[in-house]
Amino acid sequence: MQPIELRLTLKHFLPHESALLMRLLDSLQEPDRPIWAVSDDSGADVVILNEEASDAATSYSITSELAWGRPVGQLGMPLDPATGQPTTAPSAHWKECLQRLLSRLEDKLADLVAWHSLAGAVYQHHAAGHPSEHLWNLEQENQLVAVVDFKRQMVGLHPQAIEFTPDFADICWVRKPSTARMPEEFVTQRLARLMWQFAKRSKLDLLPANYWKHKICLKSLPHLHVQDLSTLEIAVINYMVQYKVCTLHEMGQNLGIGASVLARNVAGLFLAGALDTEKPRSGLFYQLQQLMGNPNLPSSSSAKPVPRDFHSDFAPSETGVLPLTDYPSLN
Amino acid sequence: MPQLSTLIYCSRISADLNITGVYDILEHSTHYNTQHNITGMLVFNSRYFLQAIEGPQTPILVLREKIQRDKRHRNFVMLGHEKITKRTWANWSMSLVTPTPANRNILEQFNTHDGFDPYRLTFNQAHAMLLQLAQHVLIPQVYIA
Repeated sequence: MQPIELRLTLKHFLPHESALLMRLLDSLQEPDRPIWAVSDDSGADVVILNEEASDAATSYSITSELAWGRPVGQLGMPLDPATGQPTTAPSAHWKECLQRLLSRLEDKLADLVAWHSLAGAVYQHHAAGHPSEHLWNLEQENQLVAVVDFKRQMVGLHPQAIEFTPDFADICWVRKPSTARMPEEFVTQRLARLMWQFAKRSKLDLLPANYWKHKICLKSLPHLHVQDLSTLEIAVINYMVQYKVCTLHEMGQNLGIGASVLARNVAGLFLAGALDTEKPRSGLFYQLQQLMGNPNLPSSSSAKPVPRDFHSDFAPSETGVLPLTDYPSLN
Repeated sequence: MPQLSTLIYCSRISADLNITGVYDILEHSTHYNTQHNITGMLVFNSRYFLQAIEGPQTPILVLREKIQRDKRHRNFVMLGHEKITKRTWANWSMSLVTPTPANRNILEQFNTHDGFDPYRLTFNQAHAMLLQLAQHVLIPQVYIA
């Protein structure tokens, strides 16, 4: 499973208390567990409120205050048991309480975790060289838990899978005939949005290496809400709409965006199926160049596992996504 | 020679507007503006639109009505509507700018929250900001010769 980044915002904590909590969050990270990161209010999945600690014992609780629109946890800062004064060296008991609070908040975000796990499975499926075409059932012990419909660019999760995230590492992909459909009771969303969210919450470098080597182009505008996009993603999209074809280096220079930040933002759009490299990936010339070891071409043994288009090349009419070639010219 | 006027407004982007919708707006406004001799500039981020339009007074009033009724945005606020003798965006039927790190200094100069909050601007501030941002237009959408 690709660990998901969950985001919390701290309310009513003093700066030194926030700094202490951020250090403690880092120290509590475990492999294969969600990664907790502190974010600004607008990007946070949960809110943690400072609760006045009444004694040396840690107090924490979960509330569902509608005013915050998100799960809310309350946490008292650690106190020295001997003096009752604030301390920067919390006890093991206090750390356990913090872990329990985070675990309960993770339960509240089970839907995010389930969708992220499904997206990770889709990413791995593609990285393993399977075609991003057709409709696939994802089964675990003969139980259908998810459906990935590349043709209609939709994904669906069994309603119970949202509460009890299946282990997608052991999932079985079963290709279905073209007449197959998504079960009605499944909770669905667009594939582009799922994969874009996956990129936003993944710590992996998801941008294929060849995106740095070749010119890139906008294949189609991503089917994403403007309000969900970051300022930098909008800048990248606008740049691609206007220039049509460019290198990432040119884009980074013209927009004033550093390489690592640019890669993160472009990766999201790549996984949303919006971008492609200009370099043809098949044909005799390309194969000859590879055989001759042209350093400008991606190696077949590249460490990056996704050198091909993430999404299939067709943009089905059901999604309403127009290939850019069909999109009204803006120039 | 008809009387020219200019207006600048800002609005909040509707929650369900896809990025494709923004470029639909741009395409349609480019076409409409060319037909009606209107020029202007549009700035947007994930939350707000800020648009300046200028042209003959009657078409500008008609366009203003159309824009106000458009469901793709809300909280329409007119920052100003004035008569002018000379166009500012004479060559652009509608150019587009988005906030980027490269133009951040301009946005910060006008003290806009989180890089870009046009509701905090007066007409003159918005006009001055748009003028400076115009230097960062990548490729003008349509060049009216």
